Amino acid sequence: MNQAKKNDILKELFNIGIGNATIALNKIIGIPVMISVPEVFFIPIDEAIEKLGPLDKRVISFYINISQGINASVLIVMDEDIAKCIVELMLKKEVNIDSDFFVNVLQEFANILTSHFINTISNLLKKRIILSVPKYARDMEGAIVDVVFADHQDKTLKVLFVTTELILKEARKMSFILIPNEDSVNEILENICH
Amino acid sequence: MSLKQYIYVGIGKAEWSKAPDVLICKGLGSCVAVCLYDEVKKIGCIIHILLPNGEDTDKPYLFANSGIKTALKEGVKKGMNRDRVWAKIVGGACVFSGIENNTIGMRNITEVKRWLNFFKIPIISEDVGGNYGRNVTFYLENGKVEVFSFKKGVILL
Repeated sequence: MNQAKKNDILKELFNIGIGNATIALNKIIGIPVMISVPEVFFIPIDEAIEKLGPLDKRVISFYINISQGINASVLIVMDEDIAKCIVELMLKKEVNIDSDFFVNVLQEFANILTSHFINTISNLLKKRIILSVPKYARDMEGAIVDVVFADHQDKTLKVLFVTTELILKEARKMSFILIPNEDSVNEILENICH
Repeated sequence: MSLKQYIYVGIGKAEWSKAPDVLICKGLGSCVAVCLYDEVKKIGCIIHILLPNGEDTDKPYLFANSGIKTALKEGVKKGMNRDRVWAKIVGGACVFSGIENNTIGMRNITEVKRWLNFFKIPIISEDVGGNYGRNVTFYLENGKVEVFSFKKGVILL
């Protein structure tokens, strides 16, 4: 199977997963959520890090490892204003961004979003998939992404990732990124094309 | 007198320049910025290292081992004296809690120190490790390194 076809299958799988996750998200926050068409990248690690945005911009991020089933990770990156907006919509009140409560609420949000995404994939693959607790970070985007991508580069120093943007109200955007390891991609494709 | 230039150093790259220029590295997480400086000639560089070890002839500056070696060679060509050069190192953090042990950041720091030691370059100051990202600004006028982080503000090295 050539790379383009592999990418298409991966993109479609991701699309179904994120579609379901967005429905769940919509139920929690009560406003329409739009998603952009997913994109698959298989590019050198240094380009991958610089692709995701300004390196020194302060963002909130959750990093979720899949500990059983497939070998992959999920990274959610959002601006501070979209994080505030989500928490406000969930609780119907303002919460201080520096408080633990804010982090806990947002962590729960990341948990729900990722669980719905992974549940769909798990059903499609007929596989039991277990997630780790989301790890939280609020720091420079470059600092977050380089740690994650350095964990996932292959022998040729390239990273494979599928990404989409979730759009809430006007232009508030959040990136949802799936970073599968090479062996797990082959496993997924075998499972689906069987 | 020449005009001051601000030079941005990308991931896996290295830039050499001379006073009064300023070298800048943004969003260092597990990456390590190695600042090399020759005080007499007032020339210096930042190497933005991403990974501890490896081989890639097209992008030598991605790795600690080949990065430091290539940068020193390049520096000698630019007129730097190897015996006078010192290093300041910044970075090697892990922003996510819970995965601090044996992270890429820690391995980067160890390898950078090992290779600087191998080439007999003294490390005169450092700001490494921790769980926060950093921006580095390297003033070639006086060899001062300014480190910015959201957690600790500005630190001068």
